[in-house]
Amino acid sequence: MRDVAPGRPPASISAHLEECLGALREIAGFLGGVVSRADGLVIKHTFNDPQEAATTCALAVATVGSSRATASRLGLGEFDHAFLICEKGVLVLAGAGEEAVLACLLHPQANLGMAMIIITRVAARIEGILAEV
Amino acid sequence: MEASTVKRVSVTNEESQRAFQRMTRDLLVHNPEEGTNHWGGASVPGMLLGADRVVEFLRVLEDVMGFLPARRQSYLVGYKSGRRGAELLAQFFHDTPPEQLPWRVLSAAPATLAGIGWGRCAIEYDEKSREVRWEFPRGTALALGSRLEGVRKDPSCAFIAGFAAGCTNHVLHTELEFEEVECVGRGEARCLFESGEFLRFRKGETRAGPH
Repeated sequence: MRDVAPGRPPASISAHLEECLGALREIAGFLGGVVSRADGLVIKHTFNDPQEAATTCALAVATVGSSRATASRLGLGEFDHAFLICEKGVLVLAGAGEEAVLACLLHPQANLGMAMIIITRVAARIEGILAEV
Repeated sequence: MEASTVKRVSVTNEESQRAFQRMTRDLLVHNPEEGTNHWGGASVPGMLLGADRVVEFLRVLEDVMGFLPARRQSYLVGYKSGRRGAELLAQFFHDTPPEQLPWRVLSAAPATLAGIGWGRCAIEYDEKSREVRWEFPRGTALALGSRLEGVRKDPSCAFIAGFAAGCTNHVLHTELEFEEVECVGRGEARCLFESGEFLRFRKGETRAGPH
């Protein structure tokens, strides 16, 4: 019996989400992606290591959560997306409705403008899929 | 007529009182050199801590990252606690036939929780649907502590939801999540936790209603 709290999406939406994440591979420099529930539970991911996906989800929602709090305190309105640009990679965090966050890891040289076009489209699709659960 | 598949266990005032005696007198050992207490032979010391302090962990976290991520962290702590609690409880039923063990262990949870002051609850388990409900008719100690500081917008008992999940999943070999459907900390009359396979967190939506 595992020691972590479970939670898995219904099989009916799993394939659709996999398709969404597959579309992210169109981004040149795409390294990995996760769909996280708004509380940090992994819904779907492309990582080889599930633990890495779990960690990414937990950190992604914490970052989005603190970004939302910052936006609220500064009167900046609703959170849309965030970039974490680092020496060895870029983390893009996009809200996928109120229930999910899409986190994508990209190569540091990835074209962020092009990446955002795809990520925004995919995030909207994920929102739609989760709304049907 | 089809027989009910729902099992239910609760705790009376007398059972709660007896459990209190057992948990705090019979099974709690004081180590005067360390100034610590140890319950049921556990090596980890047990502490008396104000219920509102546990909610404070949630409050501090949610101030930084928002309710849902904070809820998850609190839920995970509760989950591990529930699992460990179930393991600890199971050791008192080593003579029980394996097929009876899950419900015996789960049946012991309400008295145990009442005895250690977490609140008085009833547990319902539907063997057919595998749905489980933990109801605290007067609220959990956490919610009662939280309520004294004002009505919250969001539930205060993520820790207990996680505890219920950890305990239930360990005992019944399920993979359920638990949701705070009603919460005294949010101004409702009772705390109610219900199982599900995949929770939704729609803003403003509550599953609370007549049951």
